[in-house]
Amino acid sequence: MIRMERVSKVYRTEHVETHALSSFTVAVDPGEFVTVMGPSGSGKTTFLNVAGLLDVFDGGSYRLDGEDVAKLSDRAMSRIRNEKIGFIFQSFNLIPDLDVFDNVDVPLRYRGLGGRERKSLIEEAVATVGLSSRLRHHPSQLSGGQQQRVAVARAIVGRPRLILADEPTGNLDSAMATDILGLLEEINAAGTTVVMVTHDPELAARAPRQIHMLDGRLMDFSRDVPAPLFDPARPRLDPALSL
Amino acid sequence: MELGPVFRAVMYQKGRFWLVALEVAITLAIVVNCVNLALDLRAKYSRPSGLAEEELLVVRVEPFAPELAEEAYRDAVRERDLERLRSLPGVHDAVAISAVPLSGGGSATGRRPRGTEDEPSTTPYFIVGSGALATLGVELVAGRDFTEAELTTPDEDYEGQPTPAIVSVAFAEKVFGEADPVGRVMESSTGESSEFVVGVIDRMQNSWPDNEDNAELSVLMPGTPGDDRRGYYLVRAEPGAVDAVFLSLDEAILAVEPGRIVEVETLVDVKRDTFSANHALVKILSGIIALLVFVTGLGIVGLTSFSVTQRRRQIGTRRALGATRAAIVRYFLVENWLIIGLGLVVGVGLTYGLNYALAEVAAAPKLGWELLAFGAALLWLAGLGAALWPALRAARVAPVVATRTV
Amino acid sequence: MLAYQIRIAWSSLRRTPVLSALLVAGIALGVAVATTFVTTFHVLAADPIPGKSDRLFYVQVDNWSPERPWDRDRPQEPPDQLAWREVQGLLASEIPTRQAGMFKANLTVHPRGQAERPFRALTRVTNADFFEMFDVPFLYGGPWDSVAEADRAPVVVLDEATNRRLFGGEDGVGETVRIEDRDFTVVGVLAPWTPRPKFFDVTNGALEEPEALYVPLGLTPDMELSSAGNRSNWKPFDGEDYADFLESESVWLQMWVELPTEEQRQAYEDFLAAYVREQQALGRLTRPVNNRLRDVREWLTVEEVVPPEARSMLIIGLLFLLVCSINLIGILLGKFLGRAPEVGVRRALGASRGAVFGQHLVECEVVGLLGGAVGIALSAVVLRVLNRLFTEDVELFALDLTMLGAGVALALVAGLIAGLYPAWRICRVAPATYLKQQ
Repeated sequence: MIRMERVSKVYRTEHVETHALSSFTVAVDPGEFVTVMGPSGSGKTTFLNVAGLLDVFDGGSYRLDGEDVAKLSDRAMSRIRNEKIGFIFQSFNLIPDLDVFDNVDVPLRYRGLGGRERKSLIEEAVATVGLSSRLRHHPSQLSGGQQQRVAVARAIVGRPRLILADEPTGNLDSAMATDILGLLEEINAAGTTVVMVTHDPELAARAPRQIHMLDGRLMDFSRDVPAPLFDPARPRLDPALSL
Repeated sequence: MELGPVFRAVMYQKGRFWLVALEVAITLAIVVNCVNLALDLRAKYSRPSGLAEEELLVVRVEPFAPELAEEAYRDAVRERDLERLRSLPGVHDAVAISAVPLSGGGSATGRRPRGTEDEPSTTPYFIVGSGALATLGVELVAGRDFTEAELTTPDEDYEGQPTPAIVSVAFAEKVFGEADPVGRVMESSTGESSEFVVGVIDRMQNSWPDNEDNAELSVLMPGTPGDDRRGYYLVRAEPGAVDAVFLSLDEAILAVEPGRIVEVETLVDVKRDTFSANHALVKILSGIIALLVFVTGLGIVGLTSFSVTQRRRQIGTRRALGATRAAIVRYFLVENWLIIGLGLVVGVGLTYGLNYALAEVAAAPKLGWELLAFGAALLWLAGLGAALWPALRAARVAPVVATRTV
Repeated sequence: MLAYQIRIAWSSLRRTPVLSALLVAGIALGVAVATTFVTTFHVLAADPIPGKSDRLFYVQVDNWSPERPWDRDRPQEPPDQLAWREVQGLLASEIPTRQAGMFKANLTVHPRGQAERPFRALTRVTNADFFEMFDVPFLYGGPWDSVAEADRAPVVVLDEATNRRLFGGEDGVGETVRIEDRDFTVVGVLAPWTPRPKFFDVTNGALEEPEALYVPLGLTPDMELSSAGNRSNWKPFDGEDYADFLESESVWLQMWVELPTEEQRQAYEDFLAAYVREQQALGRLTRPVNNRLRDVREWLTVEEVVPPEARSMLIIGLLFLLVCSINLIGILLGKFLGRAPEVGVRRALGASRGAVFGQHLVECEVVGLLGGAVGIALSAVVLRVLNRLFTEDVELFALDLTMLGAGVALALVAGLIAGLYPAWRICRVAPATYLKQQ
């Protein structure tokens, strides 16, 4: 699903150059559930942004679902984001003026589907996250956990092949967090690839695969890694410090 | 495209959009009413006068020589004046007249059909000598012109019998109704003065062309206008010769009898003076309309830009969810279109309200719905145009903004 | 405290020069338009002779036809001018402190020497009391005295422009000038005087330029003068000469009396009533008694001196200011809320909501005043243009102190309208919200 090879992303300001991603190589297969962990500034969000075509990268190559994204136009990228990818953001990013129905509706509108088709897809997605009774409520009337569930519904309504979640439980208490994780596991079980960035090691531990990032590089301890990932000049990290 | 959600969002969060709607509403009210006022003012001025305006020159003569106090001498001078004027190169004809049409100064009396008890109608009149119809350029549509005899017979010789008069169609309709006015007699309320209609002219504005209801009521009576204080001649020049004739007139008059003050003006200038306030007001109103539309346009740009800036994260999210740049532009245009539309709906009420207030307090003309519809449509388009730039700015928001925490 | 706030506001404005310029321009535009139309209305509607306007009364007597009223649309109104017989009869009263009958005429002036041709001069034919009644200022000399008035002497008062034209600006008092058919002696020269509006003769042009010459009313029969203003009659003229004309019911004169006390006013009303009864006994004034004694302001209202257009433009001008102010709300919102993090910090450090609100409101008012200054200057220019477009009197519409004050007030109100909502929004920023995120 995701094949990145030596992807680099540099942020330049007047005085400072930040290498958010450095020669980043990673592979995620379809149907996997991967969590990405690392300290602040390690580039987790950047990786997600690049993976989800939210942001462009400076060097290397990236194949999404077999397609090389380098030459894609903005239009094509929008289409892929709309049809193949589902996003879940840390701060929910629901549109406050719209009710639950209309919020989940947003990606479908960009697909040009008919009213009846959209309605059934929306109702299905909302039912999956268990909020059918709040279809016409506005975000301000929902709890944090409920809002995030709406965000999940929005992410899955278009039946995407890949879900990218950026700290989806970051603003929730532990009970709600478990809920969300459960949902994601359900979605993954149905065949959708899930890549989740998280701070929480307990949550991460529940995922079958964990990726660790540091300074824009990948530290993968659960699979054999091709040699180029390890730079002989740099000291190895102690596995015990995988936090 | 997304009318449903846009509408619901606007309705839910009205607070954000009331400013633009309010501005549009007030602007509609002001602009439409100003246009209404301006159109009304222009209509007053543009009405045809029935006269050969472009070719007419006005000569005002004020005698001061003592000999001119004698009526007989004045009559002789008048004859020589007219002879002289008509002989000037480029002059088509000339007439002595008691007052100048379109000038704001003149005489009026009251007349009703003989034998009735009607309220006398206001009767603006001009006493004219020979050559009136040809000089004025008015069209005779019924009856005939005055005869030589009628022009020279003094009023006393009629011994109380009706004297001849030529009336305008508007006057005939007002006083005599639909009946053919030729031959009919009209009289003052005391019955002491009366005239019978010998001819009808198609249209002639009197001295007060800015009076909505009465501007075209005119009556011509034969006689020797001009007294020891003041007299007027109207001189009609051939087309193209107006300037040349203008320059030659006061010399010609003074050559006949120098004991007078002579002033020459074109009828076009006289009309312009009469309507000068009218003109000025139209200019002012136009200025206000232009300024207002400009200012409101800027305001919409500002408010929409602000709204875009407030919603950057939302825009990023939509892009992340698959919206193309075009879709974002479309979203903001639709939203703006809707808000302006709502503002215009409120504005309709405000416009009629303002019109009512202006009509009550300032005698403004009533508003027709066509003008309102046209104004609303125009503002809608203008508003949409104003929203274009902010909408394009919104489209430039990168999808990655959705994930930024600030 | 206020000075401190103003200083802060000023530095805040300087930090965003383009935005601030936009704000000032917005207010300037609105204030310019609004002040212009408020001034035109004020000039037309103001009391033209404050301090005396309640002591000067316009006299009306109904000598109109028994069969119908003077004005069909306002049938309870008497004619707006008087006949010669009325003026002569009323001038006999000794009750008013001062009184003057008058009309305007065009008289021919024959300048000395052959160089200049005779010219027409707008003339007010009136009694000597006219000048004191209406506070007319003199440059040289003064009005003619009662002896000259009684003797019907040919005396004239010139206006400043005519004095310049005839005597080169030197003191023309004592000089002779030939008017119409006789020589007049100059007894006075007026200082420049433009009553706005020309309230003593509204029926004949309230916005007209003032007269160039003033001659005694008593000369009217002698010189057979006729009015250059409105003249109306309900009876067709069946006389033969000027004397018959003076005896007719034709109305063409105005009459003003000065009655400073209530007793005088009452006495004069009685006198009027008695006069009418007297005339009725002679067979005239057959309509029901309908005298009027109206002071200046009442008279101006009845005669609708303020053109309806001026009222329209006043309303439109104020609405325009409203739109301009509303326009600025968006810009101010953007500017203020953009500073929300900073304000959040201030609030966390102890600034109260009221302090934040007040500070931002002061900033808006500073913008308002700056815009007001520019707007008032603009307005002065526009008023000049209006003068040229509407009247011959180049100083008719001008900003006086009252109007300057109005302009400042409008600017402050505009600043308030523009700033109230944004200031309220910014002061409600919770201290903590903006501190969390980096």
